[in-house]
Amino acid sequence: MDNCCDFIKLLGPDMSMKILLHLDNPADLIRVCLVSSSWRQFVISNGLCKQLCLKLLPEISSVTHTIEVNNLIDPVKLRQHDHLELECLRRNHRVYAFLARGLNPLTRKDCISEAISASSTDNYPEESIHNTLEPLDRIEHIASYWSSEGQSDPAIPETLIYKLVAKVCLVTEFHVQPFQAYFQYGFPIYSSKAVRFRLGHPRLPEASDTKDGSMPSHRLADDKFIWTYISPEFPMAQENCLQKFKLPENVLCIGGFLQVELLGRVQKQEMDGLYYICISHVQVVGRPFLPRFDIDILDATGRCALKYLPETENCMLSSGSPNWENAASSRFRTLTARLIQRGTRGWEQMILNTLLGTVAAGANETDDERPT
Amino acid sequence: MSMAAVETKKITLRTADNHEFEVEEAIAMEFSTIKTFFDENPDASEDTIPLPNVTSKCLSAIIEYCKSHLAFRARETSSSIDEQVRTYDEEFVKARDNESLKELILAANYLNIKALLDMLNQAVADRIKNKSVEYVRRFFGLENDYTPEEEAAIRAENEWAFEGVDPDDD
Repeated sequence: MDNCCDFIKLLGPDMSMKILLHLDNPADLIRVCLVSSSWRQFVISNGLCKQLCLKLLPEISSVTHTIEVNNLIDPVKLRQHDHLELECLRRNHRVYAFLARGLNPLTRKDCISEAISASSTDNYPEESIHNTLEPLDRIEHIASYWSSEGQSDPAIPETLIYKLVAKVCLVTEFHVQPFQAYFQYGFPIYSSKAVRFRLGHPRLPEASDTKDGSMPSHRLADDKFIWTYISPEFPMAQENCLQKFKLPENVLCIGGFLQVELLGRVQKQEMDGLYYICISHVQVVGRPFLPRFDIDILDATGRCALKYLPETENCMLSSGSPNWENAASSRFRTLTARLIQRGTRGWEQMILNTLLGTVAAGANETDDERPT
Repeated sequence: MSMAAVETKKITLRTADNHEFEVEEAIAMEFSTIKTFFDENPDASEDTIPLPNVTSKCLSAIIEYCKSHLAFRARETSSSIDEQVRTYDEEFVKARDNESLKELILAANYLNIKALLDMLNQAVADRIKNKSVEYVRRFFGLENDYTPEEEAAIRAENEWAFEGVDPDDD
C-alpha cells in the first residue's frame, strides 16, 4: 500500500486543523512545523499557535488585541516583497509560540519582586514601603507596615509603586491588608476609603534600573512610568484582614510595574489629629511569564518591543527556576537590610514611643537581639 | 418513507472492495452522509448504497463502533456508563496501527460520523504528542522539503521544542 499523500491535503484544512488543535503542548506544534514547509505554512496561516495560547490560557483573549494590534510588538523587519498580512501572521506565529511556551501554569501570589517607592512615608525607614512585602504585621515584635505622612485633609491620596517578578505578567487579583496599630489606644485601622491599581512600564529605559540595595527614593516616582491599565475603584473595608480585589478581567501587564493608589483616608491618629494611611501587606496574584521575556522601551511615548531572550533559557534549564529564587532572595536581602536597620534603631524607637505615651509591643526584646 | 416502523429494517452497503454489508437502519442513520441521502431520496431505501471510499475492514470496524455506542446511549446516562464508553473508545483505538487509524479517519470523515471523528482525531493527536519530527513525518507519510540550512535555522530558533521527545519506537 503506498503512503498516504500529504495528510493535510488529503483530509482538508478543517480536519487537519481539528487534529492539530488537539495538541496541547506548544512543543508539539513547533515540531509539526518542522515536518515540512507546507505544514509550517499551514500552522502559520491558520494561526494555530494563537489558538493554542487561547486554549491554554483563555484569559489571553482579552489581550490578543494588545499583542497584535496596539503596536506593542515591534514589527519584524519587513521584506519589501512580502505580503503585509503574511508578515503579520508570521510575526503572530512567533509571538504566540513564545507566549505558549512561557505560560506558567501556576498562578502565584508572590508576583511582586521589589518595592520601588511611595508617594510619602512617615518615619523612613521604619515605616517604609518595603514592609508591605512582608505578610506579617510584625516581625520579632517590631511592627511591619508602611505609613504615609499625616494630612489634615482626608481626601489626599497616596500611591505605592512596585516591581513585578517578570516583565510580562498576566495579573488576575490584588490583595491589600491595611495596618491596625495594635500599639495605639483603640487599635485603629489605617485603611483607605478605596483602592485602585495601575499596571505599566517605565517611561524610559533608564528608569527601569532600580538602585540596588541602597535606599531607594521614597518620593513619588509616578511620572517615571506609563500606566497602560487602570483598574476600577474598589472600596476598602476598615478591617485588619487581607482584602482581595479581583479584576473584572485578567490583565496582561507588559513592563512589570504596579501602582497601588489609595484613595481617601478614614483614620485619624489621636496623637496629632492627622489622617494617615498605613498598609501592612500587598500581594499580586497572577501568572508571570518566564524571565526570557523582556521589554525594550522604544521611545518616550512608551511604545515597546517584546523580546525573547533564548540565552536565558539555558540558565532556566540548568538551575531550576532562577526567577523565583531571584525574587525570593532579593526580597530576603531587602528584608534583612530592613531588619538590620531596625535592629539598630529599634531601641531608640522604643524609648521615643515610651516618651510619647504609645506603648511599643514586645517590650521584652533583648539588647543583643540580632535578626538573621 | 416506508411506514413500517419495524426495527429490523436493513440497509445494504457496498464497500470499495465489493463486500456487501447489511446493517440495521438505526446504525446506517448514524452515518450522516447516508442519513442525508435518505432524507433526500426516501424511495431509495431498497437500493444498495455504494461506498467507494471505504474498505470492508474499515466499515466493519465503524459498524461495530456505532452499534456499541447506540447500545450505550439506549441505557440511562450515568457516570459508570460514561466510564464504559471511555474504556470502549480507548480499546477501539489502542489495537489499531497508525495506518488503520488514518483509514478510519478518512472513512469517518466521508461517512460524516461526528462523534467517531472527534474521537479518532484526538487519538491521532495523542499518537504524535511528544514524538520526534521524523516520527511525525513517517506517520503522515511526508517528505521533508526543507533544505538542511532551513531546518537547522528553525530548530535553532526553538531549541526547547526539540528536547525530551520520546525515542522513536517504530
